[in-house]
Amino acid sequence: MKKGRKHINQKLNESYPKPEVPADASWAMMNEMLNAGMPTKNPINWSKFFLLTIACMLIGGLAAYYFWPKTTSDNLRKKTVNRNVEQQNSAGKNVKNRSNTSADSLGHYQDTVFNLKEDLEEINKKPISSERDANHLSLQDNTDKTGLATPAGSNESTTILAKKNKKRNRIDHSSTSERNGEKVDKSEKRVYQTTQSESEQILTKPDSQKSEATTKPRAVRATQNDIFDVELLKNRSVNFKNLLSYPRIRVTPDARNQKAQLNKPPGSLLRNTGIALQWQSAIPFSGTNYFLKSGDNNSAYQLLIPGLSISQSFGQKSAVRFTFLPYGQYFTKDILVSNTNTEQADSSTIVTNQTSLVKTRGWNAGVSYERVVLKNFEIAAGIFIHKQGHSLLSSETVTANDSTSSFQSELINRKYAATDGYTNQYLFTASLEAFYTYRKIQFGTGVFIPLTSMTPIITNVRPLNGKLFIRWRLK
Amino acid sequence: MNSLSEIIAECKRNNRKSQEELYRQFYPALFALCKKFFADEHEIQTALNNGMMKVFKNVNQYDVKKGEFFNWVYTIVRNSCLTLLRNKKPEHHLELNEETEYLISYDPFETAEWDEIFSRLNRLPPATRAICSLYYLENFTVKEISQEMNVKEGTVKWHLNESRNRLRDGFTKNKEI
Repeated sequence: MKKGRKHINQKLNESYPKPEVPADASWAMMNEMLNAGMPTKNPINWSKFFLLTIACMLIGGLAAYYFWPKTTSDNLRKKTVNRNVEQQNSAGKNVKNRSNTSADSLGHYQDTVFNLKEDLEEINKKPISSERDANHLSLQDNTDKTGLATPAGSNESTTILAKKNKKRNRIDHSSTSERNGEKVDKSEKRVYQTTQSESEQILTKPDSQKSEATTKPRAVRATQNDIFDVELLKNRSVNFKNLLSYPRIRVTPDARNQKAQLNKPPGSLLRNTGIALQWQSAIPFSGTNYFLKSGDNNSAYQLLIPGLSISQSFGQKSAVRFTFLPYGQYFTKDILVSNTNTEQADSSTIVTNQTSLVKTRGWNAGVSYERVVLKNFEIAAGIFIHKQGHSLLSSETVTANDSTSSFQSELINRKYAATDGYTNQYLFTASLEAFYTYRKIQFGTGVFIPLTSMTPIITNVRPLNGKLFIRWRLK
Repeated sequence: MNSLSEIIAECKRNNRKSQEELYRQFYPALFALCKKFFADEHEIQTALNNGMMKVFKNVNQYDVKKGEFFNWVYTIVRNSCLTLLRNKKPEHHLELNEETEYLISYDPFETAEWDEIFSRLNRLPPATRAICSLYYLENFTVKEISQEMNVKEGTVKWHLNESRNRLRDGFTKNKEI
């Protein structure tokens, strides 16, 4: 090459002559070629795509929440609460019959029972008198750390509470709506009045009955069939529930065992079984036709199709997972699978056709072994099988003769047929994954390593594919 | 008007407006390039558009480090011209084994204007015109031309000799000047 390799070092600073063919006419021809060979895609509206994804996940989550069978523990808790409410109602009726409390305050008694938790939380936020603090402390001393109220402690505390309530009644009897200049809200007033009536009832009884009332559990007596969810009892709320028979709940060892057995899953094999929904996308290491299918249509919605994942844990750190994805893609590096040159009848026109394999799609399934390596971080290795049910082929045709040549490109979707021979029906791959667990969601990435060839035409066509997935653990 | 780098970035996204802008920006230079090889306007358009089609399809492969974008486009379009020339049936099979020193030492197009260059090239048959353009205007060697055009070196020399004979008048005038 001479003159500074002029033929490969051109500059655009020369004043070129005006072309005989106007640029408009030439561009019109170019535009036609571009429309045929490189049609413009509709831009993907990512915001809509993600909103749709989130909406689908929310709908799926709500559906799973409402239709998934409740656990034994949930049913037990619901049953226990209902039973306690019934007992409270019956206790409330007894109080109404025996006490001189005004009809207005007792009229709200059931509301008091149902809203007790909320009321107590409101009361706890307000400044509390030293007497009430003393009551709390005395009861907290008699409760163990798990919230279980011991019978002896509750009996003693009931006695102390009755005395203190009487004292408070003497001092503050005339001003139930105001205490220490602070206005007492309605809910607190109701509970306070109930406390008063209970205290008076106990104190006005004869000594023999008083002794019985203050030393024996009243109203509710636990039997082997009665199981109470002790988790519902809070230390701070015991002060008020005490008067509604809550502290007198006796949880017998037999009942505890019974509850434990009820909470136990029916089969030991299913105890460590997990079920999850999995959204997965294959990541091509080359190629840009991810969302394309034949006719240049967009197929992004197919990413929303979830797969099913079932895992079985062995010990604390190991698990085996079976995964089935109804829709998955596998990308090639646009491997050339066909190249033909055809001379037409006039022998001056040659048609060259090149067909390359863009990707295949179909279901895939596999088994993998998982191992915890760090807190919330796991790795997995497994074997997968991919059904190559459909393949996307890129066909480029050049028609050339003495004077002209034309170029045509199109994407063809071809269903698997043994006679075609473009792809093998099944592809076996090894899979390596790493994923992070955040609550019920697992975020993971991995790579597929083909063990067999994608196409029978060329041996050892084994392109790597990456993958990203989100797994939502339902159980 | 956007800068060239912005236009290229949009072309990578298959933005049709940017492709048109790029096409119009390079069109005069590329048309002049194709005209060196073809006399027929239809052939010029075909070669130019085939080349630009390759440019738009492979614009993602362009690497700034390897050179200027225009140089890359220019090379692709010229290769497109050569492809079109190769697909043509050979018109002559004559060979010439004369020394090429005379041809190399004298460049009739070096000081000529574009109009004069094209008027001279229009006197030549198509294949001779292409080889003459490659040799004198694009500075290809005889060996390179024979490789690119898929013809023997002797045939290239014959075409160069033919162009010299046909352009003798122009050469003589240039010498006298």
